[in-house]
Amino acid sequence: MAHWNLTSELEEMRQEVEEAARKCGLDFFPTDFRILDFDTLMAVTANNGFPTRYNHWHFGMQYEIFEKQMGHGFARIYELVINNNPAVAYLLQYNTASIQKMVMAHVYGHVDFFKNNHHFHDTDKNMISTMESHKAIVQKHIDRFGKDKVEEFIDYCLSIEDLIDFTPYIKDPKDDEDDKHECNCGSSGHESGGCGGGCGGCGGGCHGDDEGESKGSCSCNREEKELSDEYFPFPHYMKGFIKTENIYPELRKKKKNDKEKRPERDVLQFIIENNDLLKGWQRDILSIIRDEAYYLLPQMKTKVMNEGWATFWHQYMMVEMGLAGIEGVVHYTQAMEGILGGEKLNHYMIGYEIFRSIRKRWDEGRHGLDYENERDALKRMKWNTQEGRGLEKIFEVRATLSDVDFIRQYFTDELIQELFIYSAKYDKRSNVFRIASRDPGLIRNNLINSIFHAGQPVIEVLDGNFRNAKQLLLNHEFHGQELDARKRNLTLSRLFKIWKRPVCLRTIVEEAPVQVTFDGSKIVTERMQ
Amino acid sequence: MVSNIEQDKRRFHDIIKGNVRKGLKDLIIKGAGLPGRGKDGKVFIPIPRIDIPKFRNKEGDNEDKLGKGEGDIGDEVGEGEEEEGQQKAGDKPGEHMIEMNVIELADIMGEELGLPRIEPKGKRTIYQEFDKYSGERKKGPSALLRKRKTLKQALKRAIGSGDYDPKKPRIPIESADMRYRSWTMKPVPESSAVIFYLMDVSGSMEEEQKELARKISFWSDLWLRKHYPGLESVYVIHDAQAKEVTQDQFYHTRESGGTIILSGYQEVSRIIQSRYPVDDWNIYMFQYSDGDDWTSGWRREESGSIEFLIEDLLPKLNLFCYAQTTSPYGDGKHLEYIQQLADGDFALAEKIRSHQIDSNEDVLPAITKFLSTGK
Repeated sequence: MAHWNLTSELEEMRQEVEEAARKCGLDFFPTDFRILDFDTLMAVTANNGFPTRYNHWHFGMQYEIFEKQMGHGFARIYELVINNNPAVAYLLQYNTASIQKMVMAHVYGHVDFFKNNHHFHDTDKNMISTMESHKAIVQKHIDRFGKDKVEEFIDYCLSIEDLIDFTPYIKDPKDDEDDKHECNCGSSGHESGGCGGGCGGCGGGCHGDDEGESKGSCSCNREEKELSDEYFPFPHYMKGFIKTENIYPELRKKKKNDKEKRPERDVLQFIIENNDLLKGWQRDILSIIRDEAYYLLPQMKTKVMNEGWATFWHQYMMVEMGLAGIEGVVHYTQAMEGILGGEKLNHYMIGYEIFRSIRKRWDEGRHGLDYENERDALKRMKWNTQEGRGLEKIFEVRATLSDVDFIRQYFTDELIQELFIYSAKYDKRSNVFRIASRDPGLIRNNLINSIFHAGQPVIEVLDGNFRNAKQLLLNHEFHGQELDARKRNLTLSRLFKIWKRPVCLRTIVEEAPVQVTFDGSKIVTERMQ
Repeated sequence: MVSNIEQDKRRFHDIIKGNVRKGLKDLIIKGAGLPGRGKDGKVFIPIPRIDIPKFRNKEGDNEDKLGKGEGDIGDEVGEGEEEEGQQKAGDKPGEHMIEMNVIELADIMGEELGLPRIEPKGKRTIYQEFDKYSGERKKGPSALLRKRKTLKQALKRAIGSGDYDPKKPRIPIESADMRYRSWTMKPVPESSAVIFYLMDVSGSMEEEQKELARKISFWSDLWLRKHYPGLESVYVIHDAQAKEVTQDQFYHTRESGGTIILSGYQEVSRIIQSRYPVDDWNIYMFQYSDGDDWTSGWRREESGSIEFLIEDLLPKLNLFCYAQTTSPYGDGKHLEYIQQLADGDFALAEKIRSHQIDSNEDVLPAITKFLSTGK
């Protein structure tokens, strides 16, 4: 494995690209470029871009998979950028000079995005050293408690690593104790609104509606404990086993008025705070997994935009600003064909096309009521108000949106038609896919559904003292797709190892609501109502 | 510069091979360990991996997909995934299919397998070091001194010679009392073994079924060769007549014709007699057939294949493995007869293993059944 700094030739090139990027108005962290050989690049990729991660076999497995896939040309990788300050970018050793130039331009696009998109606002900009300290912490625990034991617990945690709150702002309950009473409805609506209003989790409670009563009674949190002290008529060791609000309706009422918040989606945090059976080192591990998950979350939520943005700018710099040069342009075009071409839809392509279309629309004023109401096809085609705000507009978009809104707002009917996008259905008889529709609305919705919540189910905590026995009650917020039963049961049995008491999940199976419980030995499924 | 990845990779391999963390065994997807054929004729083998379960949406086999390009509604835009054949356990079938070093895979596949019932036979015996401290010596390095044993010896001697006084229990230790731990060299006889692969290549076996049979022999062959360096293999194919073929022919022959299992048995028996004396060889036999036997069924009494198996062949074999594929032509009675044999006689039951093969998914279980040593 080997890595180098830029050669003097490449460094010259980098300065040229950096200057061009500044001219474009890109605003980025200082960026540190490294040249890696193939093995090292694969290793770094397996680590999600980081030189150091804690020791765990799943990085080794990812490495092996990448190595074999890429080694045989099944997939390709040009570059890797870490959201850090200073940013770190890795280039592959054997790329030609013109490709490296394009990749550098691409990298500056990414770094600008990391710095300016507001979803990245709260990410740890010193993550490289944070990851190193994570490794040290895990190693300390391994030395003390043994490799197998710690590794096994990490395995369990990885099963629930994505059970975090996907809403835009990372809210750490410890930070916002002051504004706990405020309604956090506004922030939560952002991502969840993406599925056609399917997420009403917070709606009821926030408006003080009586219907919201049964929701969100997370019994173990700090506030309730304070209240319980006043009302608790039982011996102190019964605390946590008896729900006082069941006995004192007035307490329940008070609580409801105080704070009727939506169910907790940060399941990891909930477990860390409320599971009294966790050992210190286990809490450490959970926190590490949670920190890393939150760090990577914005990248999952802005994949399309981020790639589109970087592609847009390298295209702009290479062609419009002429960075590629006469001889480089052929190489460059071939590489672009590889990235954007093909029948498959990919993130680079969609994001790039959308940014291009936004630029065009705001350059020519093809937006707003006047344009929408214009029915004359010829006039529409020739429409141009010389507005010239194209670049300004895309900078605004890149600063504020995430993928779901980006696609909903700017993947217009016209663009979908222009790109010849279709939706295909599987024809079982002849084992082929056939074009089923070219309806832009349907296509857009399909796309949004596939990226909403990163394609993962929405899971939230309803109760940490369920059945008055400190069982964990989770809810699967249903968006039309049922859970894979085998994975669901396995995950529950692993969650049991973390929660250490029975765990339940409310979900939908065959269109009926059920409650699945793992009690430590077996899965029990009960129908509800 | 990447500090963790080599360690992590080694750890992953250890887990896959079952050396450590056996609790993860259930989550390992070995992709049934089977070669699939890619569109360009390449052989693809899945990478073994461990699937950490998470809450995930149920996935249909072939969901709607979006694409880009011209075409009217109803036009074909690509093939669906094959319904069968590919691994089912993975997230997305085929996603992790890659070419792989076959030995590497054989290694991973077969940590728990072995040649069952292997016995020390053969002309040479070699001595191997037995690497456990199981013996005892009177001389040795002080690090290996067995203090308790030494004291006991001294005590024995003292009592025996009448020097011992319980009121003043002082025992002098002499050099003759010293006891040291030592390792013993244990002779390990070398075993020589031969495997017979007998396959029905008659017309009643369709290409698909022959393919399954070949897969089983391919993988078991590969694995056994790796782990038993001196192993010999003999390939016999039969339709109405039997003949010995090379390995290459065995995997590529397309024959057709009637089916007389007896002919195959007789050929194997003849080869054993001429080249592999029973006293010197461990003999294993794998048979693949669709169970169709022209002289079985209503004319079974004339077939004689089962009788020949009991009387002539089975006494010579360490193990007889029979895999039967389901065929539209064969009556599949042979498996029944063989199972009856095994049911009826305990001594025979130990020697016989049989398995029904319907699809790719039965291949790995069949191999595991045939080669599992822990019976």
